[in-house]
Amino acid sequence: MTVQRWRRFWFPRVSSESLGLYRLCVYPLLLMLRPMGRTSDWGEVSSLFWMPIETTWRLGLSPPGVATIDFLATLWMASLVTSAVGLATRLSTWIAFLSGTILFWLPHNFGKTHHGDAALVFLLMILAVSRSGRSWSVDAWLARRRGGASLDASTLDEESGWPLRLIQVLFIWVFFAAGLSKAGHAGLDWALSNHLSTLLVRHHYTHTPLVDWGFWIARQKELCQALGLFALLLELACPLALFSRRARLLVLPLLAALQVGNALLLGVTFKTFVPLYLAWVPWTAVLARARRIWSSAAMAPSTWWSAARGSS
Amino acid sequence: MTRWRRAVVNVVILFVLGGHVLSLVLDNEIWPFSPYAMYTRLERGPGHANPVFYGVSEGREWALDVRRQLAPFDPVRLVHALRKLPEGAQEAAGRDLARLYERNRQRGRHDGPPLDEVRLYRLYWDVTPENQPRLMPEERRLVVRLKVDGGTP
Repeated sequence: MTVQRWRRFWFPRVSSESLGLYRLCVYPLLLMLRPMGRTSDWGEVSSLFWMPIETTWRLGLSPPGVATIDFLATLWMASLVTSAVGLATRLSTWIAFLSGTILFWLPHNFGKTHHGDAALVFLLMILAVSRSGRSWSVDAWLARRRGGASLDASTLDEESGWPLRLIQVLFIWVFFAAGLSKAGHAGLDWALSNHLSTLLVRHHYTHTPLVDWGFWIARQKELCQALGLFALLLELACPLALFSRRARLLVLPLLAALQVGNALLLGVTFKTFVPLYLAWVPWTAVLARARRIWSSAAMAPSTWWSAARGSS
Repeated sequence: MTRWRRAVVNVVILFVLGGHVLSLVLDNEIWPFSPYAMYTRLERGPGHANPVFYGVSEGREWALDVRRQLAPFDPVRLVHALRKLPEGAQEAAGRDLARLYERNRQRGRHDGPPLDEVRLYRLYWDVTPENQPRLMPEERRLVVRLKVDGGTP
């Protein structure tokens, strides 16, 4: 029974075109977002500032030189392109995962570990292990041209379901863990003290919030407490989105609103989350609608022509 | 999906979940696993201190734009890195930061004057919601002074 539940949850049957479309969107997005910035600069920082994190220290890794970093950065960008179009997809996605992980890992060894990019490392790993190149890819097109057995893109299977589900869980975990941490460290005080009010004002001295409404909100004690309580409860309740379609329709826009609020009022942006949000898109439905719109648009001129001929 | 393939995927799932749970339980960053402890420490009082880097050239002092002038560092990472420096390494750190500053200037990322010194100050502010953002801090305390070779002491 438990095994069946586990399988039903982790291995939902999804069309391979859903995963193919996700792959097609995520890799170019990573190329655009440039989540790790100018990586080769780290090769020029003196070894005095090399402060290996636990993972580095346990694996006995040393800092790579500029040439190595440049090579990895080139490899990473090339692999993002080939992964996106689905050319030698398995090899490309593995190269993107391995080179990307090294490039993401590097800056954390210079004084401070940030967690902003951590989820992307897992996303790259999941896509590398998955079989995302079976649809919407050059590989699938080549297989069809060679006359080999090709998969019907609309066929539902578990192989396409688990990667999207694991990315969804990863996305939810980030918020849920943040909620647990807040509750564990401060309890309800996190929401009901003047913590949020202070935070809204302090960020004007350390960050660059997009608007200065934080000062006005900070003066409204009850509003601050309500916002704090809302954020805390939302983070703790967000796993419901994994189990209920209705909850998903409520939770996901609220989480997005929370992050937009953070960017506006605190000056903290979460651009690395965009690829994670895409895992929630019902790709098959989106594609079906796009095809309907496309076919009606293609039909339209001939319909007008027939109508015009009939009237003449 | 074969049984072997499903087993591999299950291992991946357990690895991702297990690492994150461990990181949360230990309340420690085990990169790439994280407890995502964001803004968990309660901020209460009206007093606020933030570290700010200053550059010194020919006796003139100005706030450094760390992201551009001392790239690839960002202010938070640099503060943590300086805190972790071994004893007696401050002079070498100053030289290294000046080298980064010069390299960023040569690459056209900024057009600041040559550096003689890098100073880290802690700025103290009274941050009540009634006060709009202040331009001047209540107090400024020198934390670290990193001289660059040949610079004005």
